[in-house]
Amino acid sequence: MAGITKDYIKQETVTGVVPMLKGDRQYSFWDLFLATSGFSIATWCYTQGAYVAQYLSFKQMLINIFCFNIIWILIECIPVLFAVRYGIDLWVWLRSVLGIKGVAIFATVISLANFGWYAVDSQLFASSMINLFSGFGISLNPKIWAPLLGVLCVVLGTLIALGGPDIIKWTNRFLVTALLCVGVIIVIICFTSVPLHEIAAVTPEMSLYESKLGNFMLSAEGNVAFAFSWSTQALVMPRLCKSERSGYWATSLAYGVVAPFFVAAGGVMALAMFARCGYYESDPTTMLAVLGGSGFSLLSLLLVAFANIGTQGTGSYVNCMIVKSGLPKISYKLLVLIAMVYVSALTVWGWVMENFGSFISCAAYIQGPIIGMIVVDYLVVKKRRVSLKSLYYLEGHDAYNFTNGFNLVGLGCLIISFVLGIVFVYNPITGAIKSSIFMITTGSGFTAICGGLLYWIASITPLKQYMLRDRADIEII
Amino acid sequence: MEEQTIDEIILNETTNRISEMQGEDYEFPSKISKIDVIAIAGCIIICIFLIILAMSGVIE
Repeated sequence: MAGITKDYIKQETVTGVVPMLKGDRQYSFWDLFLATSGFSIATWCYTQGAYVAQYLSFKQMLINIFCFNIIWILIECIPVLFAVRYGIDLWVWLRSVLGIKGVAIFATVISLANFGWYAVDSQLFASSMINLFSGFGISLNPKIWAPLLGVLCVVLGTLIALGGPDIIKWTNRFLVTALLCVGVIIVIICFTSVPLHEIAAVTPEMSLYESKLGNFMLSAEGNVAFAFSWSTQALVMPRLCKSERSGYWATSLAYGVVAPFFVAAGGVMALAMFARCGYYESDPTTMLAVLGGSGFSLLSLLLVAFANIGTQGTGSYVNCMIVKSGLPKISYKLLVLIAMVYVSALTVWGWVMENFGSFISCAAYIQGPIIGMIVVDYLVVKKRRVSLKSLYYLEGHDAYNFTNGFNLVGLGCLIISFVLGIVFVYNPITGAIKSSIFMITTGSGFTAICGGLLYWIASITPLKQYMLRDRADIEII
Repeated sequence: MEEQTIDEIILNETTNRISEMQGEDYEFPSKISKIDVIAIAGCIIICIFLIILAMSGVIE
């Protein structure tokens, strides 16, 4: 019995919400960097890059992709320092911002939305595989094979997720190193098959918006939403890390540099395809087959297959952990299996893929205010001090119960930012720009700034008493 | 000896771990340094500068 209990505690530490002590940490900088990079490298990076490439010049495309991603990732990863210090994921911290029940609801809602990415991931896996087989003369009927291959990708990713962080670590250690090399090779192929001056000479389309600035900021909206899409997931894995520095930089570099590098590679490939063939293409298998010849089709097969399966595995682990932070009594394995069924259903349905642009911007509109509030809460309002006993609602410690488990101030800031963003700045569903604020902040960026600002303003009003009822309960600093 | 429920196991372990963190001899993971803060701020400033150049059409 003692052995079973010990195993269970270990399981609940690694794949649960029990705080991780310094001695339990498994990840070095490289382990977290590679695991997170493996998670961030997926075929949707190329889709994103090909989209941006159409509307911007070559230099502006690179600035747009890298700079917006780096700025927001560096900011949204600041609370990672807390996660590493106390060995808890930041969804546990969010109990102090949204309330215990508020987190349970939002953790579930955001994870349900996040899993949409994995349906896209598996559909891209399936379409790339079908294209690849077609290149070798084997015709697969997409109506039959697309759902089957998509579900196969989900199942293989689930097997990785069931292994937990240790399997993820070793899978990614080899996989990501190889994939990074492949990414570099892809860029070299593009530049050698199509001269740089031809790629740089491609004229941007003006169909997105009538001004260059409008095109630049609409592309930026996509990149900010892309950066935000990692935020809720970025808050989970750093607690496995051994030092604040390695946790912060490993996470920031993976999401802020490696993922944008693959987006940029997708953009370069799309521009090279346009220069060579006269049309933009976002499927890496098609692009590589055209630009690099059939030999590189095999390379693209490895790229797409491993990247998507690795992303499925790590993504399933991370999102199930998010749900678990809100609903800790459900076992991790059960959540992973439920996620497998859910993502498989989304894959076969195909709705998310058909509405990809609206999907990522809508998701970013929920994540934006949370990013703003958590950064302000960590640095300014709570000043890096929180009641761990109240976070885990130990007996006699109920500072974060707020109003029946909901922090009405935090939830109010989230809802107001969301509505203001849609009504007055940018509507992600229709793509309509509502005001010139969009040309400075983008729509998703506005929701983060607004959420943080409202939360800070609330903290200097009499609402402070409501928000900071934990000050007498802080014992660990 | 009474068997513990799963909830009790998690609660007891969490309580023990928080108590351990409260101990004077518990060593937290090492903190980031000023160099890290300067690097973060520097990266953000450089990126904002490049974005302004691109938005204003200086870089096309």
